[in-house]
Amino acid sequence: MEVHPVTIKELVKNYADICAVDHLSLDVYEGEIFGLLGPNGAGKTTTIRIMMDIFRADAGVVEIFGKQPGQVRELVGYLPEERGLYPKRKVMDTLVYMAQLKGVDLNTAQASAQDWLERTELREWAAHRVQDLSRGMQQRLQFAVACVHKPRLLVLDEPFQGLDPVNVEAIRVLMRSLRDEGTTIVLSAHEMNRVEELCDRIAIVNHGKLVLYGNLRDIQTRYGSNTVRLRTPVEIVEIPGSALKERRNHDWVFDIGPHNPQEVLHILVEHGIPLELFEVGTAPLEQIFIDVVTKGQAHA
Amino acid sequence: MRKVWVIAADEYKTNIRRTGFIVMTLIVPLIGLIALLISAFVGGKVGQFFTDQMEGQARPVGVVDEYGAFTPILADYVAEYKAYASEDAARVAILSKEINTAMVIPSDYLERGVIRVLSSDSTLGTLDAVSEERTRGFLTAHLLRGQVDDKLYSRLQNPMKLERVELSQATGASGRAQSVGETVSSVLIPYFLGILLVMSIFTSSGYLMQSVTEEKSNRVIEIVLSSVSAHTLLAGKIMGMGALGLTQILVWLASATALSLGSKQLTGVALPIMNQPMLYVFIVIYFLLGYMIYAVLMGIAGSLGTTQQESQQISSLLSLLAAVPFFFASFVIQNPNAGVVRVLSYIPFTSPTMMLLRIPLGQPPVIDYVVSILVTALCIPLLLKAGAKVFRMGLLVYGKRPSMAVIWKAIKES
Repeated sequence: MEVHPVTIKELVKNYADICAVDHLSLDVYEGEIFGLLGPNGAGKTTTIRIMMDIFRADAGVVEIFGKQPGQVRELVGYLPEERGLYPKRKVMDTLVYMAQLKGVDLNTAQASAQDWLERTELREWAAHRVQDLSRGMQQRLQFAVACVHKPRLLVLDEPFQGLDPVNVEAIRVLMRSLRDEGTTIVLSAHEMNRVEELCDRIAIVNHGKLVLYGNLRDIQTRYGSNTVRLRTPVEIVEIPGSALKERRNHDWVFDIGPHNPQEVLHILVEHGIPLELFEVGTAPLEQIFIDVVTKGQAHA
Repeated sequence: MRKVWVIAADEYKTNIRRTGFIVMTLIVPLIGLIALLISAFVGGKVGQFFTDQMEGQARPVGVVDEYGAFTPILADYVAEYKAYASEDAARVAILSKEINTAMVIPSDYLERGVIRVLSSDSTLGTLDAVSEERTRGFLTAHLLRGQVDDKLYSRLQNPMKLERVELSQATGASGRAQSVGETVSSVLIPYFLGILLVMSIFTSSGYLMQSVTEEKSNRVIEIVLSSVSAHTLLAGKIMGMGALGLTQILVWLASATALSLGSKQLTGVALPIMNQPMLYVFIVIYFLLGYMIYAVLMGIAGSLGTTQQESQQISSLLSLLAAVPFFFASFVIQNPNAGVVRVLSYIPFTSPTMMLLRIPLGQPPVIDYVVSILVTALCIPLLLKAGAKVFRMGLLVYGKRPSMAVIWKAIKES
């Protein structure tokens, strides 16, 4: 059986009378950026805390690289929603201590801390106390803390919260570079444009239940109202079974109804229509999220 | 285990720089040093002041002998007593500060036994000049003059020399009993040392609580708990702060040794604690046991409180447990092996403080050492296990204190 960075099966967590996580099941694949989405109070942070061995599940299975969460702490980096650092500790000391807590030896921790100070552009602040840093810098330091021990799995709970665009971009670039280096990332965020831009697959949870799960592009296509966008210099009289929805110069949008986009493409090629662009119509993630959460249009 | 060391080393390095810790660690030897210097260099003058107070500046006591048996004053008492012909003459002598005190022994003294004392003030010296013991010697000597032989006279003047022999409970061997001075110093100094040790226990465990509260209020606890288990975190903190407390105690013991050597050089007298090497061993054992118990409790207090103030309220309730032996301090001093005292020595929460109080006061039965150490040592891993559960549960609760039902559920799960 293939071992994934994260495997969750039938996870249940209750707080008194409230069911925070209700039989949740999902997998996170190696090397992907996985979006764990949902409205406030949906059970995302609870799920993440169980993955981090901070909370215990009431029922179900959570495995990190095939093991119980508490057994692989060294492989996981965590940026919690509740931000916090030791305010009076120096920036460099903070990184070294946090790396050591993850089982890294002192020399390696110091070298890695230097590296992450460079990557987060905090090198000049190494000898300053954390409380002297601006909010954005503290957030970048917090990100560095999560990565300083070179985790194979990085869990980021609301990493863009409260950041200005410059710092959002800095975090986004860091995430991409980590993914390119092979790090698997679980991202929980409310900024749908960022999720859309970064994530390979997503899960949307609502009231503790999984309501949407899968490859982001597939989901967007599925929610894309069955349209195709194409660009051609010639006039298209008709595509059988499809209706013209919109035209602007050489750009055409057809509603293909129950047809498969591949079938439509095949018809166009058969008719010798030159294509400069052929695109399956997708729906914005934000719209999908709103639909799923407010209207209960689940397609898990 | 490596992570426990990392946390312990970090806590130690962070807290040993605290101003409060440095001040408390250094102030004890400093006070000892000042006391030693005073006794060595200023002690003569200070001692003279007290001697003057006690002896009324060495002035004789006037004697107005209306009865007729007390003059002329015997040669042995001439330096201390001076005869006056009348009460008026004695009054004049007092007012002219020739003497401070005079005894008027009336003619019906034998029937009534009443003696009137005239004095210029009520200093300690004045009171001592006519103390019952001293005056009895003077009166007896003069009343017996010529009545009995020298040997009987001498014995009546000094009827006994108490020679106490203490039997060791362990061996039955006998040894020379301590003098009153030795007893006072050998009890008081270790007694205050016991109090200092208890203070050290609460200083160290108090820092532990503060550390937990700070991590909770800084919200850094969630990152820490994603790196180490609550059990490891608590164990690391306990070890680090324990090393901090031991450092404090070692500084105190080293300074006590140095002060004792200094005292021997300057005054010729070593501190009595230096003669009890086993006390060192038991100090360390009971400090560690007491510290472990209260460190776990303080860790829990830190995790349960939603604010530092609230954690301190919880911890002050816990501190009362450790202070119970001190409520009975005067009883313990008089009855170090009484039943209630022994029972409190067997209860893990009071055992270390009670034993630290008892040991300097005498020889507790060997069984008390064994039971108190065993019971407390066995209690520690259980408390640590349950404590870690409550600690873990309490750490992530922000805003409201967990209810007793929730705490009890966490303990049961352990």
